Amino acid sequence: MNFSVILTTVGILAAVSAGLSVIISVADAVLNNYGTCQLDINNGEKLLSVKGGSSLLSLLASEKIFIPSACGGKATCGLCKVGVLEGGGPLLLTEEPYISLEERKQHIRLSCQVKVKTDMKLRIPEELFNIKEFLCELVEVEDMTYDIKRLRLKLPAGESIKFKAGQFVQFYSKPYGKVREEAFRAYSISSKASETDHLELLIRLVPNGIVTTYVHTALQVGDTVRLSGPYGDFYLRGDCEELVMIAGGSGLAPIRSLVYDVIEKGLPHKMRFFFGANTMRDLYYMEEFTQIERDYPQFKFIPCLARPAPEDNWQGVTGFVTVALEEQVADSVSKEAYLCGSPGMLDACIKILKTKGFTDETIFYDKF
Amino acid sequence: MAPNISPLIIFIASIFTSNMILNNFLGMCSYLSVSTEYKTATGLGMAVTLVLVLTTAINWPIYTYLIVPSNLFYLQYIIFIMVIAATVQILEMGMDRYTPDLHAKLGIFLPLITVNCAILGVILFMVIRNYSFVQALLFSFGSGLGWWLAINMLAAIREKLATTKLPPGVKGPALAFIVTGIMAMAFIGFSGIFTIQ
Amino acid sequence: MKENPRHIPVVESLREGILSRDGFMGEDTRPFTDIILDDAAVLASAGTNAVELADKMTRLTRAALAQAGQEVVVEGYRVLVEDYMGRISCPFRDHRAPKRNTQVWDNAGRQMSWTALGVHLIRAHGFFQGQGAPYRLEPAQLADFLRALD
Repeated sequence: MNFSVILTTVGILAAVSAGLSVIISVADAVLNNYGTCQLDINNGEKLLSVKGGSSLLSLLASEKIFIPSACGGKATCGLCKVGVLEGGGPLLLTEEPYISLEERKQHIRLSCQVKVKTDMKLRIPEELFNIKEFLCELVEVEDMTYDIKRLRLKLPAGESIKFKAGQFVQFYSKPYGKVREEAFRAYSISSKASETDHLELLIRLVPNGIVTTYVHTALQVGDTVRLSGPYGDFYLRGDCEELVMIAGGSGLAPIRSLVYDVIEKGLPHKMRFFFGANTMRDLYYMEEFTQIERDYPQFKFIPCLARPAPEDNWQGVTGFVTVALEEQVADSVSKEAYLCGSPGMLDACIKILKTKGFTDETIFYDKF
Repeated sequence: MAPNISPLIIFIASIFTSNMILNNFLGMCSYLSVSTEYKTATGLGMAVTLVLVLTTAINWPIYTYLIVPSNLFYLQYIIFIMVIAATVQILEMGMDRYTPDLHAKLGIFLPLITVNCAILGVILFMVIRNYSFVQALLFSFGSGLGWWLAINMLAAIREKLATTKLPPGVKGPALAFIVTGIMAMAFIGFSGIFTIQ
Repeated sequence: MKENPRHIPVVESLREGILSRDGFMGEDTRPFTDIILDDAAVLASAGTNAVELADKMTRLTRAALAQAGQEVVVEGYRVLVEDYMGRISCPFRDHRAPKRNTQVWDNAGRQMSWTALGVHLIRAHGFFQGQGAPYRLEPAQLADFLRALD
């Protein structure tokens, strides 16, 4: 073994490595360069030129089109659905659990999993174009009950949010404690739609919840909060004479916004608001709604307590909100129902409403 | 000189009598760890077969026209491995671009395969046995299919075992080794047909 | 040993602060596949299986769901279901479960609690979560606890 052998060895290995690196770089430049891709949204309504190679979700976000998503592109929430009519390639294994057979026929895909490689034709619901991002300042926090907080957020100066009463925003938490990543969850707006420079949210603490724990323990007045919105098709249709509103817990939020919307716009609808709670300590906003009831005869407030304690001296309806519904809503004639609450309560109420003649077209609720 | 064996016989022998796993015990690592679900095992088997054929097709000319003439035998291992790694890398990019469907199925396995010793093993056998290009190609294809067959068999058995009551000591990889041993013994029966080394 | 590439995103999602604040693994250092195998063995020697237990748990939760927030007596157990808004994704990416907690007391005064996602993890994946995770259920204890439902 002499010096020249070592030298040749090093030389040859260097040459081979360099050669392979060059080949990989060239392949990368050729194969991973998708150039500029045209995104045609809703049949030419919007045309975007983007640099291919990334996920559809992130490219749309960079073009200020925010598709709702709760997991941030990890294919765990299944919310970021858009219609991909052309150029999306085959349905991926990661998408399969979230796309129903019906949706497959409509070319629905998860935008976080679809990589933009060619020109694409997309179908995106109109209302998503209005979604904006805001960096708000938290100006007020109030304990409404032992586990529900009211957050009042101030939009940046000069910016405003236009939303329909009943819609929700995505709330982004920052990393805290053991949580090392940003997370976000949907919360309905509880403030009036006419107030466009502030937003209010009602947030109930969920055991082991990432974002609600952040709100209840880490967030301080004065902090900056990132929001995007408005989202959702839970808003007033009003094609009727009476609105039957049902809420439980923090589900009161969008209903409060709806009630104010009807009153402020001077709409003629009669409203009945069934608010279900367990015990006295779960009730909140009682004075406010009683006051509205006094001021506006079109509005009736029906709080229902499932388990009033004897010392509460409870005068209202005792029992589940379903009991009050059963007794007080006679039929579905010229009525629409607006529901917000936990899935169990929603299911129970929808069951009763359907026996009264309500249909999927006259029952509205958020599915998040 | 290439040995005087029909490529077809090499092909069949490499599936059954000289099975990469059951006869040579190569590529055991991913074989054991990715054999708990049949579907996943199928994906990996497919990926191994594809990469085997491709890397053999590339490494054969490199060996014949670069290593042999320049007398670089002492560097062949390193060169083979680097070529395998580069090939897998480019293959993944190409698949992502042109066959997204296939990429969705196999993409996650490709990085795992770069360091699978069955791949290097096949190339080294090809060198030792002096195979011609056609022989080498069919040998690698057969070896891939054989590997695929073996992992699928084990995965099918392990899926059944998952719902079976087992003594605590043999759960998981331990029983997988035992099962593999029994399968290997069964495969010895094939050697009656014909053997290549 | 090499990790099954399909399991990488699952392992990630099981960590704390990804899907839930405290995650699903607790202080357990075993791979989740081993936890599943170990618990399955415990169940087998107790003469039951994950699906059977999940069915019983669902039975109790479902019976008390219409009266969420209130303690109800179901087949000799006291059951309290608490329902929250929103859903949580399964770390195995095949389900979105409602955020729903069930607390159960039996006649002997023993108490156990589970979530809707926890029941799904047990039924679909045989996963009882890692030691020290907030919703870890000991299979032997759970089987014993639910014995009255046979």
